[in-house]
Amino acid sequence: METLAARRLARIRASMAEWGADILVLNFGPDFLYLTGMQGPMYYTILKGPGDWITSAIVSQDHDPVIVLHPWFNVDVHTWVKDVRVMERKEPNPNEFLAKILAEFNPAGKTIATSKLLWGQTMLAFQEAAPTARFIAAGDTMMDKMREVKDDEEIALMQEVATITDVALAETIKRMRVGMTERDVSLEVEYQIRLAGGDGPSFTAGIISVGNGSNPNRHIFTRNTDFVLDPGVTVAFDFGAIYKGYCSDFGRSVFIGDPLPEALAAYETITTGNLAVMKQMKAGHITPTGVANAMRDHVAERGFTEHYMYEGLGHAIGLEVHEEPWLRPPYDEPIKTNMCFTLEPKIWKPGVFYVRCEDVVVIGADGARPLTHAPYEPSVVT
Amino acid sequence: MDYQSRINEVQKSMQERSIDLIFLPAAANLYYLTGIRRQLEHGTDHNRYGDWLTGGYIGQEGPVQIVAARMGGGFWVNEAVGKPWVAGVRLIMEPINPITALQETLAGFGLNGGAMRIAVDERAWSRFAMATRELLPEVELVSANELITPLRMIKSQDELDAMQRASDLTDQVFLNILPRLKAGVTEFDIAHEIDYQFVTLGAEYTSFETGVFFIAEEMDGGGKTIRTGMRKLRYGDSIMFDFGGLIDGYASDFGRSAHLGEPTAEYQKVHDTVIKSQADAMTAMVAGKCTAAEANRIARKVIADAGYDEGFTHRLGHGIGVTVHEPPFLDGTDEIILQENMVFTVEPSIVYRSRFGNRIEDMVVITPEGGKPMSKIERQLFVID
Repeated sequence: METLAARRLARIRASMAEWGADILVLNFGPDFLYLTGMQGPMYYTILKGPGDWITSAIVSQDHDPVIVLHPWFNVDVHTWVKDVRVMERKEPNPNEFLAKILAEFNPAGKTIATSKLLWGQTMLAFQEAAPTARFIAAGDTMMDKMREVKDDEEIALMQEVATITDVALAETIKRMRVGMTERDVSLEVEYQIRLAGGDGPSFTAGIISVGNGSNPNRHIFTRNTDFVLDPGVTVAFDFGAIYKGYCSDFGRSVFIGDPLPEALAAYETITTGNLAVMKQMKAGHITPTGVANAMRDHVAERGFTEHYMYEGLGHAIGLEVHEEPWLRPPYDEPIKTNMCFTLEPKIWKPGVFYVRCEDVVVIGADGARPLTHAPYEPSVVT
Repeated sequence: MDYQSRINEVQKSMQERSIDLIFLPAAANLYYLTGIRRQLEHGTDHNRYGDWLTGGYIGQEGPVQIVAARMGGGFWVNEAVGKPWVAGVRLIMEPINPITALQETLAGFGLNGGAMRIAVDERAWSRFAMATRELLPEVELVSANELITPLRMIKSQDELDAMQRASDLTDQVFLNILPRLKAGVTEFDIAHEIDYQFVTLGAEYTSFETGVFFIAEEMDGGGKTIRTGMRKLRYGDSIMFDFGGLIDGYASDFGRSAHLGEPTAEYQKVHDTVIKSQADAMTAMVAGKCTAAEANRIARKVIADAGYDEGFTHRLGHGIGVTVHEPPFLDGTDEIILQENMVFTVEPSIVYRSRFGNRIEDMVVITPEGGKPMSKIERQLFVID
């Protein structure tokens, strides 16, 4: 049986052929991990030292992948790529070091596709090393499109990171008390993500409390403020974890003190909405826009249209938190088996309540299956 | 901070070098020139329509022009408020092709074609370079580093004050977490407490991934490096700290060592060696009289003379300012002469996996009298009962 590395490489080469790319150049990030099995350091964007920008993975149809590393990045390297070239610490000319490796790929006159996360400085060095090559973007279409449909190994990791998220929420709710601030809860979530085995948050854990008349003007785009959780507020969670490079993006709402009946009804509308929409998300039978409209109709039937936030019901997710396609107009290609999406309906009545519920789901022939399993029953903290 | 005069300096330098435009995404260089804050880095969240052309555009004169993707655009609009050196924010709405938006932006600076030079930030994305070449085939793209790095290396008094505040807050974090060191806590518990203290004391966040290391004989786990994990603190362990915050836009970076229970005579000697290595380097780091490479050599010699050179595996330190690592670097190759009001970390260490580890790190300002540490925390070994 073909290894995962070989299958991924074959898929990438087919995609390169389709888009007319002779050589592919990637920097740390989702595409790099997909090709090499190697996760970049969490803080790879921090400058490490002169020449750290040589970092890249290079592959072509007839040359096996090569990883080029600065010595500061040559730490805990786990990859199935056999050819890893580490620059000497005292290398006087990083551009030349990179040019020599690129020369093995015969770049003259070729088309070189570069990942969207390649640094500008790296790009300038590649252009210097291959002045007659044509450069195209691999991100917007080629690699993003290819990664839309997940392989079985990816689905398994998406399940693991979703489970970490479920655990982090449950443990956080146990520790929530009246009088904590949004910021306290956000930090607790990030701590629990790590305790549950996650590598870290996939974005800053967002806590948004609304209600109680104390902060009627607060906009829900501000998060993790010093607002204190007093009885009468709804607390919306929007967070995710990273595990082995794969992301979750997840949410539930928690009620402090006796919940308002209207807020409970709104929350039930969106939780039942997620279940109803999942049933309709059959591979090949519905488009992203169709999914968004199905949720809009469900919310309308329950009378919450006025405060429902229609723009963006969700998005694809995988090695990146936000992947294409998005669940909103104008996306109109039918969804496919083994795509993963978030479903994140939100109802906001300014100054009164804000409820959100978010699940990660995987598409199958009979509909979508949730990977997140935290209960929908409202949690009440007193 | 006098942002306008920094912009003036850069524009003067652009005129001298015939650079028509600089493009800077939301990163350290743009922050340094305009005070527009950076957002937290998350390596997994990069799909915003038009994100690759989001940033500041600086011509040879006039204010900085901001172009931003709609998603997250509110951040830019808010950041531009109250900054007369920023001309305004143009948001890219979804129906507009980003290439068209870039073309219009370039045209706004009079760049429609022909020979010209554009400088890009080293951490801009490649997509920007590609699109620019597509629109302007005769353009010469150069790195923005040579325009901005020389300014950033020498700190103004405002910056030194900000860095002192960052250092003071970092000291407070250390004092707050010391009482938490008890047998049975994990590295990760302490690291999380450090992160928590930073945020609650007023830092934007940590300046890099917090390092807390418990090092014991017969250490478990594989791998060739030591990483903060779920190891529990036991009697006889040595403890190393490596952490920092981002405070009012400036990074701190700090380290001390501790020991649970009485240290062995050898460990005390290792600690004294590390302290002497740092002290000798700081004494030598006199403005105008020492190179980066010399400082590195002096520190290494102390450790080598004590017989522990294999335990000191990295450079002595690095420049620090709006980013946690920046030029110049105190390594074996950088022959730059240290100048007054440069700031470096000085961070010697002796680490032997499965035996012990000891490190110290201070942010140090270069003065005519040598390197002056910013931290007020003592350099003793912190022995915990």
